[in-house]
Amino acid sequence: MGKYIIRRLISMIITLVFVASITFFLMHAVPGGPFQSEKALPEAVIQALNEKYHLDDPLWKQYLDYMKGVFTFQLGPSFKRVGTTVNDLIIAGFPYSAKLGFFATLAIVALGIPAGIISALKSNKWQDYLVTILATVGVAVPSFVIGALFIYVFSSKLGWLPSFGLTSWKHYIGPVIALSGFSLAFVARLTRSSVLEVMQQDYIRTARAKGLPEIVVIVKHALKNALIPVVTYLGPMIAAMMTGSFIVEKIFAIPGMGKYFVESVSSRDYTVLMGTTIFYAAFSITMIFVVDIAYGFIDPRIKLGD
Amino acid sequence: MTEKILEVKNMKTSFYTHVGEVQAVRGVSFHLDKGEALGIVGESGSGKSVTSMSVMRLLQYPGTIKEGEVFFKGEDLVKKSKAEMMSVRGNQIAMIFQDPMTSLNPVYTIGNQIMEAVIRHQKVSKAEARERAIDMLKLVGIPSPETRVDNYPHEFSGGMRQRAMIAIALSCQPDLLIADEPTTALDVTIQAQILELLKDLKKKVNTSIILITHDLGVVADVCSRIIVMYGGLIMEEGRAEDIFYEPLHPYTMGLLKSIPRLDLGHKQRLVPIPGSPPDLIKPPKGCPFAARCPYAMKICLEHQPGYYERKPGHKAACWLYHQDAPTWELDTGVRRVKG
Ligand SMILES: Nc1ncnc2c1ncn2[C@@H]1O[C@H](COP(=O)(O)OP(=O)(O)O)[C@@H](O)[C@H]1O
Ligand code: SF4
Ligand SMILES: [Mg+2]
Repeated sequence: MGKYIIRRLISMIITLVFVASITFFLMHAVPGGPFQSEKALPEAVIQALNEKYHLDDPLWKQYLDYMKGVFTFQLGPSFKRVGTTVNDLIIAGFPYSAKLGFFATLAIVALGIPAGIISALKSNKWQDYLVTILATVGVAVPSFVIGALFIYVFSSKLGWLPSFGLTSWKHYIGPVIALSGFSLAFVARLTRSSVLEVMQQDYIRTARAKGLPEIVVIVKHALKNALIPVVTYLGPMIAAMMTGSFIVEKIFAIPGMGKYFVESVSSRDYTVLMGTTIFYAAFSITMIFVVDIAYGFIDPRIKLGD
Repeated sequence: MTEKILEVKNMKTSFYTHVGEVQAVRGVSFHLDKGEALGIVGESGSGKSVTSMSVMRLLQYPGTIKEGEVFFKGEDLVKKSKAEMMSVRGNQIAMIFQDPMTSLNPVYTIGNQIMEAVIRHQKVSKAEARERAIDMLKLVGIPSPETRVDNYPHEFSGGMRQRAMIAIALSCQPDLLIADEPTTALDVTIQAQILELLKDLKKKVNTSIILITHDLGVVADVCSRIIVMYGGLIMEEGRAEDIFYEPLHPYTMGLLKSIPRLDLGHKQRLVPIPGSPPDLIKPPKGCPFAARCPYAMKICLEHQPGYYERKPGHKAACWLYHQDAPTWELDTGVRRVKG
């Protein structure tokens, strides 16, 4: 187990190096620089700025400096927000995104999985049809439509709920629905098909042949197996939820990571763009690692020892 | 006088699918004496598994027993409630299945899966159940059962898994063990070992056994009486010697010709019965075997034959034994070569 974890940690670092390198070189391959704008700056100013941010150094040196920054958690200064570092932006934005993501994840797990289970056990009954219809809508309708509709109905028309910011519990309802919608629907469908498949397995018949009550057959014998693919999906999904959806943050005017990410794209704020991308990648990689460890506990066939 | 442990009377089981009613079992009657081993033989699709699942009341939607009675120790199982059946299953009637690779739950230990049945049906502590699990593993011939009890199914070979399945089945000392193709998924040497084990256990634990298989060769050694099924009906019933040496039904004769012969090695010619089993959504109105039978007569297509008893306990559903039937030189498939 210890050996496995060390091996995984090493491969995580290698993955991160790859992600950071690709991001770095892609940024440098894109034509145009951060200080280009409609209003031409005087040559001398650009010169000074380039110097200040080491943009005149040879590429390999910039690269090494950047990688050093990544591994010392110093993601550099923002090009566009004078006096702020990328770290500052992540520290400011991530807590909002994370809180939102946490509740979205909670909603997905607490509603999506039970809905999928009920749907499977009541297959072709009204409960199943209801879940299937809702899930199809959830998968098909994009989050910005859900968000915009929500604001239109509950904020503008009915005036029940606030439409921007994240100050009270009421503020969370809209963004959580918009953010979790797709994954909730997806998890419900995934759980449904997985439970249906597991219920056809021979070991379920064996469990019934032992005289176990149906509830034990389902909870003990079916669910533990059926949730394995769901757990696989949850890992990267949690990372995506926690690092913020820029669309949802934009619609509900939440100052999360996603907001900074989007702004950095339009303003060519390269360090912020790279920094948030790498942060997201690191978070994802970690979540996948956590899921793999969790796997070992659920499924004894997966050996973490060697 | 021997005591009947199981008596099935005119049982009919159908699956109500969207393409129509699949009449998988169309009226079977048989019995099993206490301590007896009965073989149910027939080609794949003849209704053997559905028969056993009906007896266990394990049919899943859309399958139902639409008619008949299943007396087990004098009580009709068909009339029992779900809760009553739960205390019969795994306790008084246990079952093992064809594929040991998929019949055990991969995420629980072997011990857990044996203990579960014991704890469910008997007033024992967890520690006692564990002891029982170890004893059962020893009984079915698993080496070092004290450590093996904590293994997961994937740590067992196919043969060992089937032994573990037998251990689960016998853990509550059932009166009846139904083994549905217990050796079909195993390779030949392991097959022989499992059959040997069943034979051995029958003596040791005094359980009645129903052994279901598509291979007549498998039942020869274990069972004293055999039922031959086809198209959801019983074609012939008799003592093992009767079936092997004096078969009455042309279908049984066909099955005999298709047993692999060890004495001929690779040079043997297996003769499978030409044709395929009847459509059970629209079962033939006469003899179900008529379409494949070399002796089929006009009446065979029109009317289902009744049972003709040649001697006590040996009977066949075939018009050939009607008094007005012409006499044929039958190619019985019987082989007298033994050992
Ligand atoms: N769940 C089901 N739905 C529809 N038909 C079924 C089902 N299970 C079995 N059958 C049909 O019942 C017939 C008998 O099957 P079975 O008892 O499994 O045969 P076998 O003798 O090989 O064990 C087959 O024709 C099969 O197609
Ligand atoms: S009843 Fe007729 S068709 Fe059926 S087995 Fe006998 S001879 Fe053949
Ligand atoms: Mg079968």
